[in-house]
Parts: sequence; C-alpha cells; structure tokens
Amino acid sequence: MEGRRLATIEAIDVHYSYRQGVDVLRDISLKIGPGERIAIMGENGAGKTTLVKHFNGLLKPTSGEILVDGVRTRDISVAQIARKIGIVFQKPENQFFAETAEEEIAFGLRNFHFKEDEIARKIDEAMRFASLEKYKGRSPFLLSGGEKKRLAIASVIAWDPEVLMIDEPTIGQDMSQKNRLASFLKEVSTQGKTVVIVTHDVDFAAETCERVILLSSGLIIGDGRIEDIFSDVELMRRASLLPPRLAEVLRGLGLSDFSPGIFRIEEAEKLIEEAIAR
Amino acid sequence: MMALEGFKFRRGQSFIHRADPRMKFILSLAFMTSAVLIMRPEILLSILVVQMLILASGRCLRDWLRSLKGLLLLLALIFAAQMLVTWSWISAITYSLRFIVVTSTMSWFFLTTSPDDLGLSLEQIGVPSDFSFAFTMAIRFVPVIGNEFQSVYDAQRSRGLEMEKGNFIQRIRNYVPIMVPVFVDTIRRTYEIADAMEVRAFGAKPKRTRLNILVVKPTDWALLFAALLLFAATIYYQFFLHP
Repeated sequence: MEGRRLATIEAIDVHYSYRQGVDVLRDISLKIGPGERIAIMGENGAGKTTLVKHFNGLLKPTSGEILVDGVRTRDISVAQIARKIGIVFQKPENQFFAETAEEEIAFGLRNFHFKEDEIARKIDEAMRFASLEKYKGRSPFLLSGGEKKRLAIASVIAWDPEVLMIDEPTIGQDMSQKNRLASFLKEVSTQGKTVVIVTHDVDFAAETCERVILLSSGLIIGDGRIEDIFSDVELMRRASLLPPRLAEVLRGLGLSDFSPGIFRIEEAEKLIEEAIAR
Repeated sequence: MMALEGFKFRRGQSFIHRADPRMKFILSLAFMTSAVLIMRPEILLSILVVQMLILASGRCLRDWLRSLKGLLLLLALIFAAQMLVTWSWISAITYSLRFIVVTSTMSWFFLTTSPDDLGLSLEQIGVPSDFSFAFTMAIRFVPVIGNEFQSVYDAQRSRGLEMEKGNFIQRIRNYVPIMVPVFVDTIRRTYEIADAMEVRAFGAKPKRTRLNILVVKPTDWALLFAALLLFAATIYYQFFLHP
C-alpha cells in the first residue's frame, strides 16, 4: 500500500458522560504516536469502546479535547478523521449491507472518492491481505464468523488509514483465526501503521502489542510497556485481568525470575532452551 | 431517534400511570377523533392544553417536548405543504396543530402505559395470547432496534459515510447502508428469540393463566365517562352544531 504518512492522536483531560452525573470517562490524557501497537484493556464497562469512539470523533468529549494531528475532533467531520483513523467495530454484521464482499470493501473507497481503477486495485489488495480472494463475489452475510471479521477489517484497511483500531478482534474466534489475525496485525504494523486493539484477551495482546493502556471505571490506571504492566500483579487484578498464560507457564517452570517480562512465544522458547542447556 | 424518546414507556406512580390501559386507550381515541374531525384552531389548542395537563400529571412533559423537537422537521413539512396548497395561515396552523395533538395523544398514552399492561389488556378483551405477546414484544424491541440503528450509523460513518451530503435522491440513498444491516439484524433476531422462547416451552399450554389481571377501578370508569363525553361532544359539535 502507499507510502506512509503519520498520525498522532492526543487526548487532553477528556471527560465524557452520557447523562448528567454518570461519568464514563474521567481525566483521560494520553498520546498515541505513529507506528505504535497498543492494547486498550480493562473490565466490562470500563469505557474502552467509548474511548475508541472518541478517537474518530463519533463521540465528542464532554470536557477536554481530542486532537488528531493537532486538529480538534470537534472541528472536523467523522468522515475526515476516518480517512486517517480506521475503526472496526465489534459486530461485523453492523456494517454489512452490500451484495458482495467486493462491494462491501468498495463502500469506504467510494466515500473517500478514490478513482474507479484505483478502487479495483485496492479491493484486490485488501482481499489478498485478508485471505478472502475466493469470496469476492459472495454475500458478506454468508461468510463464517472469522471471515466476516476479516472482511470488516479489510473494508477499513482498504483505504489505507494511518491508524487501524479494532474493537474486540478475538471475540468468537478460534485459535487458528486468532493466530492469523495476530500475523495480520503484525503485517499492518510493519507497514508503519499504528495499531490499536480493544481486547480482554491477554495472550493476544501480549502476542501483538507493545504498549498497554489499562482502564478501570473510566480512569486510566496503567499505561506503559506490556512487560511492565502485565508483571504488575496488583494492577492486573484491579483491571480484572489474569496474567498471560505464558507467564504462568514460565512461573510454573521456575523461570519467571530470569526475565519477568516475557510473554511472546519465541522469547519463551529461547528462555526454556537456555534453561535446558544449563 | 429523539422523536422516539417521547413514546417510550417510563415507570411512574401517577394517576395516569395507574389508570386502566383500556380506558386510557379509549380516551386517547376520543382525543384523536376530535382532533381529526374538528378543524378549528381554538378547539385544537384547548385539546392540546388538556393533553399537556395530562402529560404534566404524569410528570412526562419533558419527554414529550423532546419528542416534539424530534418531530419538528416533519411538522415544518406539514406546515409548508399546507401553506403551498391552500395559501392560508389558518389552515397551515390548524393542520400543524392537528398533527401535534395526535402525536401528543399517542405520546402520553405510550409514555404512561407499560407494554406488559398493553398486552394484558389485549388478552383480556379476547385477543389470543400469541398475538398479544407478539404485540408486547414488538414494543419491547423498539429501543433495542433504536440502539442497533445507532451502532450501524456509527460504523458506517467510521467508513466515511456522510449523511448530509448530496442532492435529495443521494440523501435517501445514504440510508441504504444503514437500513440494510438494521433489517438483517432484526430479522435474524426474531429467529433467535423464537428459538429462545421455544426452548423455554412457549406455547406448551394453549391456555395461559396470568399472575396479574386488570381490574377496573372507579376512577377508570370516570375516565371512560370522560372519553364518552368527549366523543359525544365532538359528534354533536361537528354534525349538529356546525353541520
């Protein structure tokens, strides 16, 4: 896909309440730089999806500001921001309306006024990227759960936004789908794009992200490198999260003291091999 | 979506909340009949004042106002169309008032009558329980579909859809990407609900008994009396006083 551009998102003292008195987000300040891989985590109702909806202007803060490349989200349309920040929501069915998978991908591209020949090319690219080539002419509603999710992602990635945000990418996905999605996200990331996922899946986050933002009752209770956050037992408990299984395995093997921040398969393999050699 | 807010039941303890739904229904029919038959702004206006009193007694004036705000566009359309056709202020105002009176009647009726009570009254006037149940469910799911609409709207805007863009035809077309997912989801949901009900033995016994039944209180008879009076007055006024 095209040469990379950069996008920076900044939240300054964001508060949000649906109704008077019920705060969904409080004191949210953070910065998301280009090329980062971030997992937003926290218990149900912590405000994760609400926060993500702020990033492309679907929701506007009750007080405070969200800046996308220095421009306040209040001052531009959702469509303008969406060109830079692509968000894939939880339920793919909520966005499918076209007769074919191909047309589904074309929707965003047409909205952003791509030329027809370019649209055809981008559809092919996105289809290949999501390994859906053979389903081009099929109705989106007839795809399997995992394929639907990938089509939803493909329909966003097609217009090449600088930031890709996915709400709950792993819900209802089996192991092989998850692995596929993980490598898919890594590939997106190697293209220099920012990847933000909202998830409960600690293992998946450990596999794909390098930074975690922990939310609890609308507050950021942790923001940092995944190694540091996931090793902080107290913090994890407050966010109602269990440490990744890999960390548990290493602890069970008595290896966690050697390197507390290891959650990725390859690193763990190395550690175990070294231990055996010893 | 704002317009729907004024028709969504909210629990309450006022006189009008507790009144028998059947009597309320007859009363609201009486109001609507007079609004439709009598085309005089001063009478429509006084009916509207009575409606507002009812709304105030049920503490739902604010919800009603909100729904009116949501219907403002439609109201303006009615006013403009009347103005164009008849070229008379009076007629444009009368038609708009009629629209307000009819929606307000429905508004206080639905704001203060729980879907369960509605289903119950249908059943008690002899509608088979399957039908009354379907009716209750339909009302029960209006807000759910409303939320669904919002989610789809958000998802499509996030893909660059701009609703306010283009000419008239284009603007109507803009609704396709929103309506299709909403319809598909709603149809799928009906199957899921049917299954969920069946596994819980819905319809196992043809005759259902009820824990709560509606009992007509003296105040409800008074409501019925008021409704009949209003009917009679309307018919007298329309057909005998000003034939």
